[in-house]
Order: sequence, then C-alpha cells, then structure tokens
Amino acid sequence: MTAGAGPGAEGPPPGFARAAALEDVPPGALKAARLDGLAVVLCNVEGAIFAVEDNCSHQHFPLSRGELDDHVLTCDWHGACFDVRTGEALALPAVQPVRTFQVRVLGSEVYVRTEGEPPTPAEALIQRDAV
Amino acid sequence: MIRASAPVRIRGGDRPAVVDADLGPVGELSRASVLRLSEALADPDWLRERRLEAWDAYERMPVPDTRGEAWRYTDLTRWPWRDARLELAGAPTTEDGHGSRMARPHAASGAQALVDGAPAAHWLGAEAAAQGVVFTDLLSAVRDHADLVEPHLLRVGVTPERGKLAALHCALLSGGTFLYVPPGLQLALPLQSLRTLRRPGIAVFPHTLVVAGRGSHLTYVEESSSPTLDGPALNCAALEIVAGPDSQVRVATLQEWGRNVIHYSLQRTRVQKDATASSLVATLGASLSRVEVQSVLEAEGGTSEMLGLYLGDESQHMDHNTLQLHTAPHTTSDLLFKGALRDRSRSAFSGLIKVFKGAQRTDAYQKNRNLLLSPEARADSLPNLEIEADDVRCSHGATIGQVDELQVFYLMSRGLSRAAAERLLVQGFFEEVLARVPLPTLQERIRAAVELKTGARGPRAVDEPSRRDGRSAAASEAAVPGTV
Amino acid sequence: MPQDVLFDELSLDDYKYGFRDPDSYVFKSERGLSRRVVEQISAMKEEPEWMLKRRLKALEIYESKPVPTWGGDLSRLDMSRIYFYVRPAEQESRSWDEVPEDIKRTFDRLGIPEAERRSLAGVGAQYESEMVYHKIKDELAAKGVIFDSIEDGLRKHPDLFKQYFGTVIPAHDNKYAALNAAVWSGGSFIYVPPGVDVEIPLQAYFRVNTENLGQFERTLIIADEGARLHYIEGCTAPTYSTASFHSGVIEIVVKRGANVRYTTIQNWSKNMYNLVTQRARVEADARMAWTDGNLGSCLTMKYPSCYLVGPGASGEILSIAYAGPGQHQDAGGKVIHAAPYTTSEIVSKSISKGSGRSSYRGLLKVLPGAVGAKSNVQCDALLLDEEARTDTYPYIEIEEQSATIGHEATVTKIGDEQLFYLMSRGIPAAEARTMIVRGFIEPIARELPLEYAVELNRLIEFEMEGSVG
Repeated sequence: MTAGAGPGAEGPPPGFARAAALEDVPPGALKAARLDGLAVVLCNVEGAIFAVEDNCSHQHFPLSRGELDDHVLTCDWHGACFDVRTGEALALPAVQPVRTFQVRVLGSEVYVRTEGEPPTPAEALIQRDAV
Repeated sequence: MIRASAPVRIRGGDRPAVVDADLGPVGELSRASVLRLSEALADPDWLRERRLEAWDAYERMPVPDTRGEAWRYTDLTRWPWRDARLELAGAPTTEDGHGSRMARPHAASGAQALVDGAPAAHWLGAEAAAQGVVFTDLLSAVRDHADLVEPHLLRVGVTPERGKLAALHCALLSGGTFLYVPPGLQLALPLQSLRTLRRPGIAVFPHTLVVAGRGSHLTYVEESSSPTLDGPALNCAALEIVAGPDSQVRVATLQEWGRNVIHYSLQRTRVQKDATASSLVATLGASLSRVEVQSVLEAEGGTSEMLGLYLGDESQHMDHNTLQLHTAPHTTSDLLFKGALRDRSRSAFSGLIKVFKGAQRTDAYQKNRNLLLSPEARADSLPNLEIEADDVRCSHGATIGQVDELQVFYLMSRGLSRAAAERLLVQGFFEEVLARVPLPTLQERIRAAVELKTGARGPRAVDEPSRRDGRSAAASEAAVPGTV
Repeated sequence: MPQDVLFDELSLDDYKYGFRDPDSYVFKSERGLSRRVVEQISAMKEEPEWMLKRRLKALEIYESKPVPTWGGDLSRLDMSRIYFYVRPAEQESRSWDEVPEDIKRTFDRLGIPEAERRSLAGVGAQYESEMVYHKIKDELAAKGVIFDSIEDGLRKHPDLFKQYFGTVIPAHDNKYAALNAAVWSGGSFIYVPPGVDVEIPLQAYFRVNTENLGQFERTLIIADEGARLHYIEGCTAPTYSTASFHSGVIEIVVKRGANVRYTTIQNWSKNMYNLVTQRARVEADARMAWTDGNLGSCLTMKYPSCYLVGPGASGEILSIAYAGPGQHQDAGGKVIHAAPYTTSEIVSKSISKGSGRSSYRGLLKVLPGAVGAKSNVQCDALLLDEEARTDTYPYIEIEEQSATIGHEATVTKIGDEQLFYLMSRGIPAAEARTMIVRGFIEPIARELPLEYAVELNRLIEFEMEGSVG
C-alpha cells in the first residue's frame, strides 16, 4: 500500500486499465467505474478488491447502488444477490450470473482487465503482482 | 414507389441543406433555444406557445428508463440521443419555397423530398392541385394554410404528455409534410414523402399532418433512408392523421435509416364516423427504433387496420408500441405486427386495446408474431387489453418461435441451401402482412427492401460489408427512387 | 352478549364467513408501523438477534420503496390505522381441545375440525397474527415430515430455516415483501424429506377477526428430492366498515424430481386488501403447480410464480378470479424459464360483474440457454354486464431462439346464441346463465378439492342471482 514509486511506476500489466484509487474503495465499500464504455463495480471484501459488471442480470439495474455484505452483493431494486468473487447468483429473482473481471492493485491504484476470459476463482484472489 | 430504374436527381438535395445556425446538442438546449428556433422559423404566436408549453413539459419529465412501464424494453438513458445536434437548415432554395422542382415521379399524385429535415424538392400533379389538394412542407403550410393547420397541429394527439421524446418533438418540430385532401376527392395515386439524412450527428424533428376531408380517399407513403452515418443522429418524428367522416386513409411508413440513427416516431390517427384508416409500419433500419402507433376510434362506424413488420439484424433494437383506443360504440380495429430477428437484434412489441365504457359492439383484434432467427436474438411481447364494455369481441395473441424445421427441411430437399431456405421462409412470414396492403407498388417496394436485407447477409456479406449501406447511399443520392 | 351475530349478512351480501368474534387477545400492538412495533414482535417471539436485524433492515427497505402505481388502487389503504401484530393466545396448541374456546368456536363454524376428521394429512390454523393450532398425522411425522408454525421452524430447525428463508423472495423484491419481512408472524414451515409422498393434502386456515388487522403470514416449504406435497390454504375474515390488510409471503423450494401443488382459495371479506407474494424455485425434473382462486377481498394483487432453474422442470399456474361490485382482482402468474427443456402452462379465467374489475397480469420469460423451453398461456375473461371491466397484461420476454411460446386471450360476454339455445331447451334464463358461467370455470374448478369446488359453485350461483339482464 505504501508502494510510492515502487511497482506502480512500472505501470499495469497488459490489458489492465486504471479503475479507481484504492482509497476510494475502503473495506465493505462499492465503487462504480467506467472502463472503455463498460460499467464495472469494484467491491472491497476485507481488503481484497473484486470487480463485477455493474448491471444486475435480473432487470439491468446498477449493482453499485446496492449493498455489500462480506462477499454478497445485493441489488437494491429487487434484492437479487451475487457472490462478487465468482459472479454467481445466490438468490432469486436473479438466476443468471454477472460477469467478473480480473483485478490488480498496484501501489495506490486499482486496475481492471475487461477483455478476455473472466478470472478463475484462484485468479480473482491474486490481486497484487509479486514484486 | 418501386425500385429506381431511372433515379430522379434532386438538384437542391445533392448536398446537405445550408446551415443557418447550430443550436448545439439536444442535451444542452434550453427554453431560449426553443425561442430562437421559433424566431428563425417565423412561427405564428400559437405555434410558439405550443412549443414552449411542450418544452416545459419536456424539462419536467425524467428520461424514461426501464423501470417505467412505457419504456420497459428500451432504456433511453443508454442511448446517445442527446448528443445529436439541432442545426437549423437554411431557407429553401427556390422562389416557391419548396426547394428544387423535381421530376414527375411514377404513379404518384405528388412527391416531396426532405434532406436533413429541410424541404429539398417537391412536385404535385396539376390535376390534384386544381382539385384543391394541398401537399407541401409543413412550415409553408403553417404560413399559407393556417386555417387548415392550426386546428390540428399538435392537437390530433401528438402532445407533450405522450412522453419525453414526444414532448421534445412538439417543442422542436421543424420541416415535415402537410397533406390536405378536400371533401369528396378520391385520389387513386399515392402521395409520397422521401427523406434522407446526410449530416452525421444531426437531430431532426419532422412532423407530418394529414387531413382527409369527408368522403375523401388518399394514400400517403413516407420512406426514410440514409447511409450509415459517422456520428449518432436523431430522427424524432411524428405523424398526425385526421381521417374525416366516410374517408378512406392509408398511411405507410418505410424506415430504412442507416446504422447510427436513433429513430423515434409517434403516429396518431383520429378515425371519425364511418371512416376507414389503414396504417403500415415497416421497420428495417436505424440502430434504435421506437415507433408508437395509435388509433383513436372516436365515432360510430370507424375502422382501423394497423399493420407492422420489422426485421432486425446485428445489434438493432426495435421497439413498437401500439394503441387501439375505442371511445365510441360500433367500431373495429385489427392489428397485426410481425417481426423477424437475426444476429443479436432485439425487438419489443407492446400493444394495448382499450375499450371505453359504453363503446359497445366493438371488435378489436391484436396479433403479434415473432421469429427468432439466431440464438442471440431476443423478442419481447406485451399484448394488453383493458375492456370496460361487455358487448365486445376482443382477442389478442402473441407467439415467439423459430422457423419451422420441417419447412426448412422440405425446402432443402428441393436443393436450397439452409440460408436460402430460411430467407424464403422469412419472406413468406411477412407475406401475411404484405398481402393486406392493396397497393402493388408499395407491396413490391417493401418486399424488395426485405429481400435486400435478408439477401445481403450470408457468406458474401463478409466481402461486401457495405452492400446494404451502398444501396442506401445510392438511394439517398437519388433521394427519389421514383419512375418506371 | 351473543357473539355470533350474523348481522353483516343482512346488510351486505351472502358472505357466510362475515361473522365476528369479540376481541380477545393477549397482546395487541399500537396502530401503525414503527421500529418499536418490529422490535416488539421480535421480542415476543424471543428471536435470535440476526432475525431482528433482518426485520429492521426490511423495514428500511419497505420505507424506501414507493407504493406501486401499476396495479390496483392502494391510495385508500391507510397503514397508520393498521394493527401490525395481535397475539390471540399464549401458545400454539397441538390438540384441538387446548385451543381457546372462542377461537375454537370460530374455526368450528369454518368447518376445520370437520375437515381434519376427513383425514387430511395435517391441519394448521392461524388466528390474527399467530398460528393457534398445528397438527400432523403421526405416521407422516414418523417419516420425517415437518409441519410446524414458521416460528417453530426457526426455533427447532434453525439451520434449515436459515439456509432457505428469504432466498426465494428477498425483502427487496417488492414493497410488500419487504413489509412482510419486517413484521411477519405466523404461517407454516414444511419440510418433506427425500422420496416421501404426502399423499393427502396438508391444509391451513387463515382467519382475521380484529378490525384493521394486518396479517403477515410467512410460509416456507421445502420439498426435498423426489418428495410430493399438496398444500391448501383458505382465508376468511369478518366484514367491517374499514379495511384490513393481508400480506403474505410464500417461499417454496422444489428440489430435483419433487412435486408440489399449492392451492389457495381466498374468500376474504370485501374490505380486505390482499397483497401476496408467492414464488417457487423449481429444480431439475421437478414440478410446481399453483392453483389460485381469488374470490374475496376488495383488492388482490397476487402473481404466483415459478422459477424453473433446473433442466426438465415444469410449472403450472391455474388462476381463477371473480370480481363482483367494488372488487378488483389483479391476479395472474409468472414463469421464468432459466434451464433447458423446461415447460409451463398458465390458464387464467376471470369473471367480472357490476363495477368489478379483474386483471390478468403475467410474465413469461425465457432466458438465453433455456433450449427447447415451451410455454402456453391462455387467458379468458367473461364480462357479466356493461359495468364490468377486464384487463390483460401478459409480459412475454423471450431470449432463446428454440423456445416455443404461445399466448392467447379472449374477452366475451355470455353469448345470446348460447343463451337462446339453452332456453329453447326449456332451461330458465337465470339457470342458463349460471350453467354457462360454470362451464367457463370448469377447467379450473375440476382441479380443486371437492369442498372448495362445491363452495365455488355455490358462490357463483349466489352471485349470478339477479344478474339476468
């Protein structure tokens, strides 16, 4: 976190774009970000940042207006629940998952990759590149 | 009316109309912009007042999103319609105020061309003119035929309370078409209005007003086409139609805008005593298309036939919203909308039959049929009924499915490729609608447009990505694909 | 003072459940809804802390959601007059003899012990805000079938309860689901173990006695793999001059291969607002069937739904509504096809009379990937006179190419030709009309348990009296 000009200076890995400052996503918080026309919501679960598409799979409402409780993101409109680590729908009325994206935290910045395959659960947990 | 074999060139229409003033993007307009527009168009007081009233309503309304019922399937907040710019076209270039004269179109009583919302060319047969037909651009009519225009303009039912875009249209309407057919005159040949957009990112607000006198017969055809534009353009249009007592009125609109156009159209018809109104909406173009078609059966003996067809591909979004409003007894309405969806295209149909208390002996039918031609396509259908009279015959039906595999198999066994078989079945699917259009030239025109759209796909489309657009461009260059 | 006075029958209509009993309760909350009321309910039920938290969160959600404007007219429902919790007795009874005398008399009149004698698998009875009686046959209990009040479900089966409660219908789902999640009380908790077939129906009766009562029962049913269950509920209340309010939430989990039928015959008095959320999650090869009869209440808004989440799941909704003068039945159903080869059928029949209004409101949704989904919807409305009104609002949303979907609706009155034919056979006009109406509802009536089918016919006959134009 106190990386200063450390790894951040080398820039993000290919395919990642800056989404937010880390300090804007404190633990338990949600933060909406727009990346290349795609709306993404960043979720801080006890210090780990996860990114899912900011669009409920039930009725297309921004999930960033919902509530995060541990790893469960609840949509504010009809109460659909998603696991932000996997995108899985946990409660009706949602039955389809939401897209998840790979996240990297470099220094004080959060980067997200919107292209390519969604991360595997293991990948989702790798937040910081080894320095 | 039919495919151009010898296109008529519009001299004044070769280039976009001269721009007098750029009022800026729709999203940044203000009441002052409306006043400026009104002044530039030299509006009479009554029109300026109607504009301002509409603008105030527009400002009060939120942009509809899918949480409201009326726009449940189209999230207007996600489309860049507010980026399109309101640019005031210059005055028409000829003395008679109608732009260039145009060559006489084939099989029409009159024709008119609008380029970027401004009148570019015009022709009305001498015979029709002598019999009292008025066919002109709307602003000229406001000036020259106020007695015919003022009672109806924004009074037939295109009013601010119809919604955000309707209010925007009412505030900013400019250009368009006025057609008046005097009592008793039965025109055999149609009148046509041909429209194109050239300037990327432009916002236009054409308004059509058709007034059919008692016992008159008329057919009015509106065709819109353009190439794919570089920036998002907005066509925010409306049609008001008064089918006078005993009249027979046919109105067809064929929409073939290029991609990047956002198309909104509100069409409202008053069907008076013993009148018969028929409408056909054919939606093929534009990125987003939202069409509202409404018939008000306000006196006994009125009949309304409402036809529609839509064919979507790529990521086109087509939303049709219809109303059959029976306020008087002994009235009939019959609606048939059919759509086919390819690729990732998406359609929504929402229709309402509303029968008022006391509107006994009403017959009202509503049918919506959809074909899904690809795994990613999507169709939503919402056929509503609200019935407050008991002596009625009302029914509605909706189906959504794919092409019949047995029929595909049959055609393939006759040597057709799968793509060709599907194409044929889609064309056949639309025949049920086209067969009810009694004007062979119009039938042919739409059939050709459907064929072109279905035929331009398949493997060859990879090599010729602009085939469809190329045709549209050619059409708009000609602007009037009339003649033999 | 004689408490069983049937004075409402004289002034209103032949609503035979319109009798009232004296107010007798062990606790009654103050009028209106507040944090304090929610805390009281939770405290009286001696709930764990997490449930109180969920109730309070739900209260916030309820307050943040607007009153819906798309359905019936809710503007005259004054929440500040409603009693949100009335406890009728100290505890729930396991034997009919233990039920307090006055409550017992009520249910005697409603025919509950009689029904139980007719060898139902189990019977539950809710009076005001609490279940006063729950009983299940010993042999079913021995097979592991649980049939308890919802409160006992939470107390005795906390893990099962917590695993499913609120996962089918979250508090956010709609304003009244949120309200129920805040103040729920009473209702059933049912668990049927894998493979167990509860051959005869379980039945629950709901009775509201206090004027301005809000009844918020909450039912959770879990049919484990291959299990089978039929649950029937019936609802009645006395007729008062001011409105009462019923807002239940029914969550059903139908596991792989299980089969659940849920039947409601709602004959609330005509000043009851009845806003109910019912939803089933239906897994692979399982089947859920809702039979929904809406005869009473001034306004009902109720759309039983099936979420078909596993391949081969199927759903059926049979809805019958009768809207007499002053009534609005806004009913229908929803089916969401979220898995391949799922099938569904919705049949709705409605009858409107006088100023009555019946609306069918339905959603049929097929999500991408629900290959081969098939659904058919049929809505028929019958208007008995020129004052009556009917609406049809069928939302059809299809995102799967291979789905086969059909929807049809008709609106008719009793045809002159039909009537003429019957009368030419010597049948009097009134009887002929009744016969036509009976024929109209027959496809649904035949799915009802006999006593309800008889009741439905009796009601139709009564309502048809004097309707000969």
